[in-house]
Amino acid sequence: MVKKMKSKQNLLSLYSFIIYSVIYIPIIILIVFSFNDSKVNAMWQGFTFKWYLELFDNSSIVTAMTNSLMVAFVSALISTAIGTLAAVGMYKYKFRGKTVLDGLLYVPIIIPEIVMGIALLMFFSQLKIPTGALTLILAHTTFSVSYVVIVVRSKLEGFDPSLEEAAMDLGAKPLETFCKITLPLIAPGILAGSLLAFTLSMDDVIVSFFVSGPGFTTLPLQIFSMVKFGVSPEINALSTLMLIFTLSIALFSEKLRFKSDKEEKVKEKIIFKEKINLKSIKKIAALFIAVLIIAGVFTGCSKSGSVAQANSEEVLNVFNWSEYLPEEVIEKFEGKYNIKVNYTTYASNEEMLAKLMAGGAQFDIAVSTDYMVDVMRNQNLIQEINMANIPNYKNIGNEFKGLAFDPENKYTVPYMWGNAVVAVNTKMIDTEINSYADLWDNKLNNSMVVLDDQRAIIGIALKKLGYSFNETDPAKLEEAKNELVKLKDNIKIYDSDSPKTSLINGEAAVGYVWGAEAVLAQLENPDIKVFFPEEGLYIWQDNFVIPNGAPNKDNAELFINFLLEPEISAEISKCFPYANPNVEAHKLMDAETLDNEVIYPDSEIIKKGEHLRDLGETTVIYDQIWTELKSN
Amino acid sequence: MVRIENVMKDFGGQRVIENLNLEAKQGEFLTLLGPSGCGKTTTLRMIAGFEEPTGGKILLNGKDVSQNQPYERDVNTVFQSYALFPHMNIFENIAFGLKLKKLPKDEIKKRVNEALRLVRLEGYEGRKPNEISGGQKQRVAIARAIINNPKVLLLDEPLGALDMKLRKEMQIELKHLQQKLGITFIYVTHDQEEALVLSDRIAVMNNGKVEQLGNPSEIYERPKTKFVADFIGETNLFEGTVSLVSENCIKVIIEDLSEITITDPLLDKLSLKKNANVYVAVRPEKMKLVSSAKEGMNKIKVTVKEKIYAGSVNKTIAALSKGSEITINELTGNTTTINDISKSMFAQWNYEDGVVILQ
Ligand SMILES: Nc1ncnc2c1ncn2[C@@H]1O[C@H](COP(=O)(O)OP(=O)(O)O)[C@@H](O)[C@H]1O
Ligand SMILES: [Mg+2]
Repeated sequence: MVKKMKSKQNLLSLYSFIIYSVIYIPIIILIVFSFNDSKVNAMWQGFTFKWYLELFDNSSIVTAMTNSLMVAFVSALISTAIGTLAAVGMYKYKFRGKTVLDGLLYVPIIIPEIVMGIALLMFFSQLKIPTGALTLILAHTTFSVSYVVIVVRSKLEGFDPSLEEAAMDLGAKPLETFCKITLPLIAPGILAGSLLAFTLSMDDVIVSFFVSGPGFTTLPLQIFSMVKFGVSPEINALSTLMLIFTLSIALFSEKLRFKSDKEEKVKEKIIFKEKINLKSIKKIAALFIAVLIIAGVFTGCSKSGSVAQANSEEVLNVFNWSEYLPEEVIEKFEGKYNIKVNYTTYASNEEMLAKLMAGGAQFDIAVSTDYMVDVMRNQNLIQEINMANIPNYKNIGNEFKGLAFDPENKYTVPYMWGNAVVAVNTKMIDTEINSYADLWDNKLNNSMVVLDDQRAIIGIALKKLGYSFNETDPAKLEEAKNELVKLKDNIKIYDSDSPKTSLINGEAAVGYVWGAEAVLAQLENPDIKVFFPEEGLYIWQDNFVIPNGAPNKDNAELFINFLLEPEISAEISKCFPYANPNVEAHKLMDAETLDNEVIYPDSEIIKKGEHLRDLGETTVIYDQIWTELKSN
Repeated sequence: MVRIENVMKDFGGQRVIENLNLEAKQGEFLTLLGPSGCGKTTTLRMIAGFEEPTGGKILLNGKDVSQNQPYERDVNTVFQSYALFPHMNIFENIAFGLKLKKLPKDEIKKRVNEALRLVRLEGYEGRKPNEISGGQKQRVAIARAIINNPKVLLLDEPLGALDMKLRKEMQIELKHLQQKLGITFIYVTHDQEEALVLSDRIAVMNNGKVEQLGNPSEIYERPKTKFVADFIGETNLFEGTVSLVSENCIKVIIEDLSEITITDPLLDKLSLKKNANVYVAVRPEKMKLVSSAKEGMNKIKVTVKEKIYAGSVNKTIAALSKGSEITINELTGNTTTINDISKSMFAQWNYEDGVVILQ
C-alpha cells in the first residue's frame, strides 16, 4: 500500500518535471544563448554581454522599443479609463439590452486576432486614417478595453453596494462618492487592468502587423522581421529583455491583486504590514498614473511634431526585407536629397504582399522576389518604373535584365540575387555530390538539412527527372512526388531560417541551403564543401518595385537610382553576403568577395540556373505534394 | 418630523408597499416590525432616498423630499451590513460626513472624539474596520451616522448580525443613546421582543401594509388583527361566534360550544353584533391549568398532551375536545400537579384577559 503510494508520488513528480521542462527549457536556452559569444546559436563559445550592447547601438531596435513603450503607455491609459468606466457602468446600472452589450464587450477577446487585425485595417483605410502610431494606439486600445473591463469587474463583484449608499447618505455627491469610495476600493483592480493592457500591447504581433505603418514599427514586429536571417544572439538578447520586462509587470500586477484580496480576508493580526501595503499601493498607483500622463503628453507633442515635419518635408516610404540595407546608406540618401525615409521591414514575400494588398497605397518602394513580381503584376499591385529617372540602370549586368518575370524591363530594377547549393561536411560524408540525384543516395539516410521551401524541394526532384523548377504538367509533378517519397528518409531537418546551424554543429552532414548560408557555415567550419548540382541551380533575384498609387513615385526612383550608384552599391555588398548584379559596383568591391564561387558562380553555372515563376493554378498541386510529404 | 403619505412602491410591476401612511414624531423611537420581506427595508430606503416611491409623498419637517437625493436629506442611516469604508480607519470613517462639509480640522477632530466617547470607542480611531469586533463596528456605524446631527436616524436591523448577549447589551445602549441625543429613530427589526423593549411606538407591518400602530403595551395587550396577535408573542386564538353583546360584557361561543365571556372596558361594542364571527386571543401566561374549575372565570375542558420545562415557566400543551391545541404558561413553582399527562383538566382565565379580534 505504502509502496504503491510512493510510486504514485514518483510518477506525479516525474510528470510535473516533464511539464515544467517543456515550458521552461526553451526559454532558458534562449536566455543562455543571449550571452553566447558566437554569431550562431549552435555551440557555446564563451560568455559575453556584447549582444546587449549592440542592441542599444542598433537605432532601428531602439526606435522600435520607444515606439512600443509609447504605444503601450498611451493605449493602456486610454483603455484603462474607458474600461473602468464601462465596468462601473455595467455594474451599477440596469438598462434594456444590458446583457447584449455586456456580451459584446467580451467579443474582442474571443475573435481571432487576425480577423481583428484585418477588420481594423479595413476600417482605418475606409476612414482614410494613415496607418502608424495613431492606428496602433487605437487598435491596442480596442482589444485591451475588454481585458480591463474583466479585471475591474472582478474587483467590483466583491464590492458592497451599500458602501456607496452610505457615502451618499453622509452627504457625498455622486462624483465625490466615486472618487472617495468606489475608486480607492477598486484601484488595485484598475491598476492590474492597466498593467495587463500595457503588457498586451507590448506583446502584440498580429494586430500590430496589420495596423502599423511606414516608418512606425513596434518591437515585436521588428524582432519578427529580423528573424528572417535566422535567430541571431542579438534577438536572443532582445527577447530576454522583453521577457524580463513583461514578466516583472505581470508579477507586479499579480502581487497587487493577491495582496488586496488578502487584505479583505486576513483580520486583526497583520495590522501594521497591511497599512504599508495599502499606502504603497496608493503611491505606486499615483506614480504609474503620472507616468502614463507624461507619456501621453509626450507622445501627443511628438506626434504633432512629426505631422508637421511630414507636411514641410519630402518623404519616402520604403518597404524592404529586414537586414537588407545598411542604415548608413539611408542616412546618406536623406542627407543628400533632404528626403525623410520611413523604413519598414518584412520577413517574407507573402507578408509584404498581404500588407500591400490590405493597406492601400502607402509605400513608395517594395522589394520583391522574382515569382512574387509575377503575382504582384497579375494583381495590378505595381506600376511601371520611369527608367529615364534611373540612369544608373545601365550599371546592372545584362544577364539580370529581361528575365521572364519582367521581359521588357518595365516594372523591376534588380537589387540582389543568390542561389541554393549543396553543402557537405566532408568529415562526415566522403562522397562528392555533383547532382541532385546524388542526394537520393541511401548512404545519406537521415543526415540532410534542407530548405523548408516547397518550390525548392519539389524543384530538385523535378530537376533530377530532367524537368524545370517551374513545371506545370500534373503527370510530371506526380513523378516528382514519387521521387520525393524516396528522398524523405534522407531528410532529417527542414530549416529555411538558419540551416547553417545544423551544418555547423554536425547535426546534419549534408545541406541543401541558401548559398549565403553555406558561405557562413564554411567560415565556422572549414570542413564544409559546396557543390553545384549539374542539373542547374535554383536562382533567386530580388527587385525593386513601385506599388501602384505610391504617393512619392519620383522620390522612389531617385532612391533606386541612388542605390545603383557604384559606390553605394558596393557599400551595401560589404554588409550583406548576397550577390550584387551591379557590375559597375564590382569594380569597387574586394576581389576576395567576387572570387567566392558560391556567391558569384561562373557564368556557365548561372546560365544553367532557373528563376522561379508564379505558377498560377498549379500552385495547388505543389501545395498538395508538400503537405503530403511533410505529413507522413 | 417624518411623514409618509399614501406611499406606494412597485418593483418591476410588483407592488411591495401599499398605500402606507405613517408618522414619526420629534424625538420618538418608532419601530417598523414585521416578518422578512414585508417591506420594512424598502420603506426605510425610501425615507433615506435610495428608492423613489412609485406614488405618494415623504415629508421631512413638513417639506416634501420625495424627489431629493440622499445627500440632500437631513437623515442618516445605520446599515444592516454596517457599510464601513474598509480603506479608511475608524476616525476617517466617522469624520467622513464632516469632511464633506469642509469643516476646519480641529472642529472635525473635536466632534469625532465626542462621537467616539459617546459610543465608548476611544482609542480605536487608528484601527481599520476589519480590525475590530462586530459590536464595535456597529457602534462605529452609529457614530458615523450621527456625526452630522441628523434630525432622523434610520436603523435597518442594526443588531441583526450580533449574538444574543451582545444584542441585549446593545439594545439598552441604543435606547440610552436615543434618549441622550433626543433625535427621532426609525428602527427596523423582525424581532418582536427587541421592538417591545426599545420602542416608543411600533408599526407592525405585513405584506406592505401597516397592520397596527401603537405603543408596545397596546400592541402586546390589544392586538387589533389576527396577524398582530399571532406575530407578537405567544397567543391562543379561539375562533367563535358572538352570542351576546351587553352593557359590560360580550359572550362568544367557540368550537367546542363552550361560551367565553370577555369584559374588556376598551372594547368597541358598537361594531359587534350578535352572530358576528370573531377571534378571541388569550396569552398563555394568563391561563391556568386546574383539575376543578372555579366559578367567575372562563373555563374550557382540555386534555393535557405535553409538558415542557422552559426555565422560568412550565409550558403545557393541551387539546380541546375538537382537537385544536392551546398553550398554557405557568410560572415554575406555581404548578399544582406534576404528572397530569392525558388527564382531563380545565384551562381557566379571567374575563378581562381575553381580547376580541374581528374577523
Ligand atoms: N431592488 C429590488 N428589486 C425587486 N424587488 C425588491 C427589491 N428590493 C426589495 N424587493 C422586494 O420587496 C419586498 C420587500 O422587501 P424588503 O423591503 O427588503 O423587506 P424586509 O426588509 O421587510 O425584509 C420583498 O418581496 C423583496 O423581494
Ligand atoms: Mg430588510
